[in-house]
Amino acid sequence: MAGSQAGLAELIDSHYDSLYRYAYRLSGTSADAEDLTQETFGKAIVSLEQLRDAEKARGWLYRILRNAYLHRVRDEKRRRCVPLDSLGDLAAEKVETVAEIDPGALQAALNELDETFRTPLILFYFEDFSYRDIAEQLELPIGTVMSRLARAKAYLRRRLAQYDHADHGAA
Amino acid sequence: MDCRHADLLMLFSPRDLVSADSLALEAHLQSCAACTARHAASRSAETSLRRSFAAVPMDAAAKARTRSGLLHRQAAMVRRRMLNRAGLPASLLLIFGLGLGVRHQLRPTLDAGDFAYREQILLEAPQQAVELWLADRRLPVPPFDLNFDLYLTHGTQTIDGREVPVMTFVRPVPGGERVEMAKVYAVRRADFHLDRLKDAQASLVNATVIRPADRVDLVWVVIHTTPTMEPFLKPRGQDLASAS
Repeated sequence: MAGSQAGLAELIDSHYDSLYRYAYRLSGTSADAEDLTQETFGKAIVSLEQLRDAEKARGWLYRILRNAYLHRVRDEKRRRCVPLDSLGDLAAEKVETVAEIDPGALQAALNELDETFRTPLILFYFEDFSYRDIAEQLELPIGTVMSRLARAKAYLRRRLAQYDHADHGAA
Repeated sequence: MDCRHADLLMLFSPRDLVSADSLALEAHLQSCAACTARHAASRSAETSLRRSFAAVPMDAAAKARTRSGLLHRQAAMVRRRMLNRAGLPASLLLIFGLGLGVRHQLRPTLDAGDFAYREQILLEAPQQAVELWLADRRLPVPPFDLNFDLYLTHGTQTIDGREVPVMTFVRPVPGGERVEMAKVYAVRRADFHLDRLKDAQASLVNATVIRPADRVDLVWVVIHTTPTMEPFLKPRGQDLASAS
């Protein structure tokens, strides 16, 4: 059934939206997101017959998408990433209030993050992945996931607060 | 639980906290206003971020396009796989069938009349029949006049893995039950080293080597039970027909 037309249609209908959102947040543009999502399903079709457990489809598709994304950006030097040191320490975290978040500012802040921080953040915030899910997805120890998430969250809040202040200041 | 411990637990997603830690954090928050404020701010920021992360503009047309393209692609892939799966056996079957057909077509038709005619020629004119057989094998007529009244048979004999054409002649011994025999072999230089080949004798059989003057690639070897091969040649100055 998994390899049939109905199986594929069901897979697309169930996961397209979330994969597209994940791809959008990873890549930052709708065109890249569409390409990545399409590429993910394209690769999934080839080995769809091997997917015995439908419960595992989500994690499987996310892994394909992330690998496809990493493959694309591997040689790109254009991305300016924030050095790990500048993300701060857990103990130094101070909760910044972020009232309304500008989508452009959010994506800009995400794009500044190294992929190793950006991916867990995206998985955590909008696909309802638990720490354990993320650890499994990224094949990392759960402690590493927590640490990366905490530092990435703190960085994100600081950057968004800066945007917010700049906006209000400009107004 | 102190505030430092509570701060640590607040880093966790509620889903990742074990129930004991979750209850302990809840109890601490009820008794600590500062932590409650931080927790509320954190939750508010989380909620806001979560909402913002999910706020990705969706393109319904792109989704429909992708869906349709993928379904077409899968259908094409399934067709290709089916063709591939069926293709190999079909190709083999076709090749086998063609081979069988060609072999079937190339099989000579055996005609009993033709069969009988060929045997009759052998009986009536064995010399001509044998000469035709030699010509088919690009072999010349032997440079000695064999007496075809004594002809028995012809064919090939395997010698050291090589097929060597041979003619057999027999001759009754006058007054006895025994027969004398001579076998005439056409030995090609391409098949054997012939430079040192020469006449030989055994207790019952003799070998005579004849090298034709006009063919360096061929040697005739006559094995005969008589002292010489003379008894198997045409009587001198006598016509074959009158001799018989």
